[in-house]
Amino acid sequence: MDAIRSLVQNIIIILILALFLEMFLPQGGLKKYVKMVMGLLVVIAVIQAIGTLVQWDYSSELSALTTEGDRMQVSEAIEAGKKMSGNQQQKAIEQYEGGIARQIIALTSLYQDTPVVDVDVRVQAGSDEPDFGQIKEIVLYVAQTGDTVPGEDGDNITLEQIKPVTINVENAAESGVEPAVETTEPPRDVVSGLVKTVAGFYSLEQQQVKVRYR
Amino acid sequence: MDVLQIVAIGLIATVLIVVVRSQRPELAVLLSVAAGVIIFLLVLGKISSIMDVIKELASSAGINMVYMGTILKIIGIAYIAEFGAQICRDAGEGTIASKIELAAKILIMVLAVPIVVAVLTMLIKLVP
Repeated sequence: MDAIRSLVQNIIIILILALFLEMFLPQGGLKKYVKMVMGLLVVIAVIQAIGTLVQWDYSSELSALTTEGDRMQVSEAIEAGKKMSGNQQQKAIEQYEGGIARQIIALTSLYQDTPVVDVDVRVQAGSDEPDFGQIKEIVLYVAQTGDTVPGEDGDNITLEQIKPVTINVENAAESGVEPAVETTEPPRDVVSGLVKTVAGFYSLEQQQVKVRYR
Repeated sequence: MDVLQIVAIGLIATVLIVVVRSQRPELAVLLSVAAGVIIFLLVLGKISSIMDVIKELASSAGINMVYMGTILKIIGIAYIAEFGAQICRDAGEGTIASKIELAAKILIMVLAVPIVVAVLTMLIKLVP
């Protein structure tokens, strides 16, 4: 029903247009020639409108008079393509971020006294940006002592509080014994080393690597 | 009122041409051309608004603008040829006027050939 309505609507508009154009025609002997061409145009428009209704393939005989249908198909296809491309890109970015996070966890596992429990990687996702795909920021979540972190075999490992470390060099030199060592918390130099390692591994600025305690 | 201006220009040009024609017929033709060009320039701005309406109607009917362009070109050719042919007739050169009209007819047919061929092919295919 909609197709017939659209067909009648199109034919009415075409005929009104033809009448409107006929008013423009000069009064001389050329009028009948122009009218003939306009009549042919109306014939084509009507046949094409009917052809669209009955799904008749007229494209081999006639270059498209009406372009609305084609334009809609093309725009829909472009829109769908853009959506698919965006989804694929989003998935690729997520996989890339996940892969980098796993790499960082493996890399930081060397630092036994600052266990990294989670890594949040943010990559430039806008494809229009010049630095598309580059790492914007890495956030390392370090477990504080006393927390439980998942072990390799699935068991939870409780992190014990490290005792403060003090090195008494003067007394040791006087007495001739080895200096006494006491632990301090938090180990800022170790965290700094962790940041330097991650930043250096991915060629980032140290400000781009952040450490948060959980 | 544009129409008053146009009528005034037309009347003044007519009076001048009638006066001048008896003394200098060659200047009368030039005056006629000048009056025609001035009147055309006065309505040129209005034509663009009509063209906008026609284009809007065509796009609402989903008609390809290539076809509309062909039709508008044909109308333009017809107008220019009529204008030139009338000036030639006013100057007493009826043969040149008919040559201009012949050229315009050929140009119109050249522009209409793709449409004519398309309709013919389609009709031949429709016949079983």
